Amino acid sequence: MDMTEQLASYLRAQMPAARDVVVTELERKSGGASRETWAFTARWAENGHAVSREFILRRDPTRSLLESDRAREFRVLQALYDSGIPVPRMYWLELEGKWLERPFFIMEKLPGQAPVGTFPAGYPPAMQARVAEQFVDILARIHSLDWRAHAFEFLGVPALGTDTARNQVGHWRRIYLQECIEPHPILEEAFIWLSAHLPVADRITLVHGDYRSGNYLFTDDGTITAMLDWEMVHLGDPMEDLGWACMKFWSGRGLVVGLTTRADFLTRYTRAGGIPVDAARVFFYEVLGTVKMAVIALTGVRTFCDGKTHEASMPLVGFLVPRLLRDLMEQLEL
Amino acid sequence: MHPDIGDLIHGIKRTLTEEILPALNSGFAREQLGYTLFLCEHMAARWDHAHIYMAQEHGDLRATLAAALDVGRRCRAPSASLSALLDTTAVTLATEETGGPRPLRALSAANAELKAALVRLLGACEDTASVDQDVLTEMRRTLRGFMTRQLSRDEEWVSTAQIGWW
Repeated sequence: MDMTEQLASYLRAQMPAARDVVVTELERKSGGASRETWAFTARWAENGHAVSREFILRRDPTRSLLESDRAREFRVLQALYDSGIPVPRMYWLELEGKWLERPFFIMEKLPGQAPVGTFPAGYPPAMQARVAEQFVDILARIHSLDWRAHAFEFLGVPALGTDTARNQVGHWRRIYLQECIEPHPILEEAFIWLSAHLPVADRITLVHGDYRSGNYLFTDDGTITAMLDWEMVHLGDPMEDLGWACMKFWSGRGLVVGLTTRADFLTRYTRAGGIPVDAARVFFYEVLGTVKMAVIALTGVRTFCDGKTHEASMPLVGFLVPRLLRDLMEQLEL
Repeated sequence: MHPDIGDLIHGIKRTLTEEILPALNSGFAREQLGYTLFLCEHMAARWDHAHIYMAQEHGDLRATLAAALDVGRRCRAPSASLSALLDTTAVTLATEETGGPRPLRALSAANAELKAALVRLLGACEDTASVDQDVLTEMRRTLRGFMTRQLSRDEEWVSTAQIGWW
């Protein structure tokens, strides 16, 4: 049975009232470092009406750059739907390989394009500004969300103080030690620096974990329709998302995620959410973010060298490591 | 001997470009092939320099560790752990095979071992209780010198094309 038919069978099982379910236009999409992304259209008849709907399927790969818990992401997105934070509607989660060999979830396909690096050329500056404002405002909304009311305690609640930073540094250090093929002295120096400069979190919020260009969709009228890729979502210090977004690695034409100046980004954030920006903490998380990206890239290299992936982009991410190490050298003045 | 590795890589690239790529209909498959061609390009540009690159790294690692050892020996009151580390590093340098050509992977493994020794010494430089802060600072500077030079070599190695994240 090919994947189109497998998917149709799955949908039939999930929607008993649906008749004549067919799946068409199944297409694997590029990107998605941690999961395969497929787009497809499903058509069926229900209560005498013809229904046609577009979906996104995200399936676990044979091996990923980032081992993440798809149930956790699914649950968070389900809870965030209708919360004022633009996320796709989640439909089904399958943790077994019974239907498509590997675990997957299916969600709504939202309109829009995902800019990578700089904001795409050809749009008026006013529209870029509009997208930038929404990008910041949505982040402020994520951080202002009452995570207890959404029952997000299952993500693990760090204590106020240095716990959240210590947990993050420890987590990425473990992955580094597990995945690196050889020692990287610059990363070792960075871990030493991070451990010696753990910042004190004065509030715990929902943290997206990968808030940047490439992870939002916007339409031609300048509306952000979705924030995507919540694989690294957790509870922690809101400054972490700011530091991640401000990383040089994501900047385009010197602008934060290719959208706006750093000063505007941080000022608007405070105005939108009322959370004061702590520059030292933002810097700490910029350094940690750069380390994280280097570790993620090294994981890709390891996965490729161990023959655990067929994805041809995996060895290429290793080419990004020197750029990230250069950023660290500059950040830490090594 | 021909075809050498470069000839073979160019041949593979031609086959992929001329025969396979036009036959692919899936956007995803074409993209995967694009990545593969990029890797072929990189291999074609670098394969005959790989040994030189690795040997330069090796020579720099040995010289850096030897220099760091000289500095470390100047500690007036080294901790027991630092003394042991300096001794271990000296043994690593003395026993590490240097003579004769080696397969690339053997050289790479040797470099990894020397980098591990370098990292251990870097960690020792963080001993804030030591009375020899001036010596530790100089040792750290010596080790960081390797990091700077190695980063420049790595940047050169991947400079075959600019790539970005998704």
